Amino acid sequence: MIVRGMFNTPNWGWQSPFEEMEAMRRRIDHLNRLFTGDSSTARAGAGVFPLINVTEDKDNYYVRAELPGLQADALEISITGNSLSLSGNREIAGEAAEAKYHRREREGGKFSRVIELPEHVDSDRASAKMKNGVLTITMPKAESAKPRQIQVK
Amino acid sequence: MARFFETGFPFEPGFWFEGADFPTLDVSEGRKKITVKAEIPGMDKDDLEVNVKGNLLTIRGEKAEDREEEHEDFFHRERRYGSFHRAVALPAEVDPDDVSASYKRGVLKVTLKKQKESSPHKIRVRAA
Repeated sequence: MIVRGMFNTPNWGWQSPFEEMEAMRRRIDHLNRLFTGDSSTARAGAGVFPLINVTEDKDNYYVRAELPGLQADALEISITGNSLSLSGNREIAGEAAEAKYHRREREGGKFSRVIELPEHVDSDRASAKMKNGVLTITMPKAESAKPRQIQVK
Repeated sequence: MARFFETGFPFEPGFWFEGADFPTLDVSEGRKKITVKAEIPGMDKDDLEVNVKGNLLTIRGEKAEDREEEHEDFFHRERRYGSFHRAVALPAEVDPDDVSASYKRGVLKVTLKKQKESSPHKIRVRAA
């Protein structure tokens, strides 16, 4: 997991009220987790990479992950039961040797994330594509997990 | 205080987009040009706007929700959408008519030509 360091930038006085709110929000999230046992309240962007959305329709589950600058072959995706594992190495190409950096916020390196899906999926028919730095993984639902209409006789 | 000007006025729309520093960017300076690379995954390139005024580079845009997701139900949602805006001071004067921008794999790359080639002035330290 890459800590993106978004909140590690040096702070100036005027920013402190926002910092305070951030700290308060963390405390509330912590309480939420304590009481509900739910980890999904963790806020997006706070040190989690990549950011993901998980959706479903009638036939498939979809995971979309934001992986800017990543080459498709630097990515490893595996599915076991209902857990999807996403890992890879993000390399940030350096500029010419004589160039000097004035600002370097993008962070490369290894990352890995495991996503629990609500149901089992058919891993043999899963597919993935990359577009504009967004990875989309389509996973057909296992037959047993599909909604079944029950006929009333 | 310098940071204030770079992140924009706190109540401008987009200020809360993933913290104050979206998009994440690198600024590097070579002998003849300055390169800025910003991570903005999932954009349509027509929704990106790049402006140069003096030595201030502004990137703004509107990140629309994923069209494919519209007909699906959400289980988990972390990706952010909406408008964003970030301005960054460039380290040297640039030619505003010689700027190129490209968007590839979710990374926006802006190349700006410097007005003058830099020739760092070395200062010799002499023994007293």
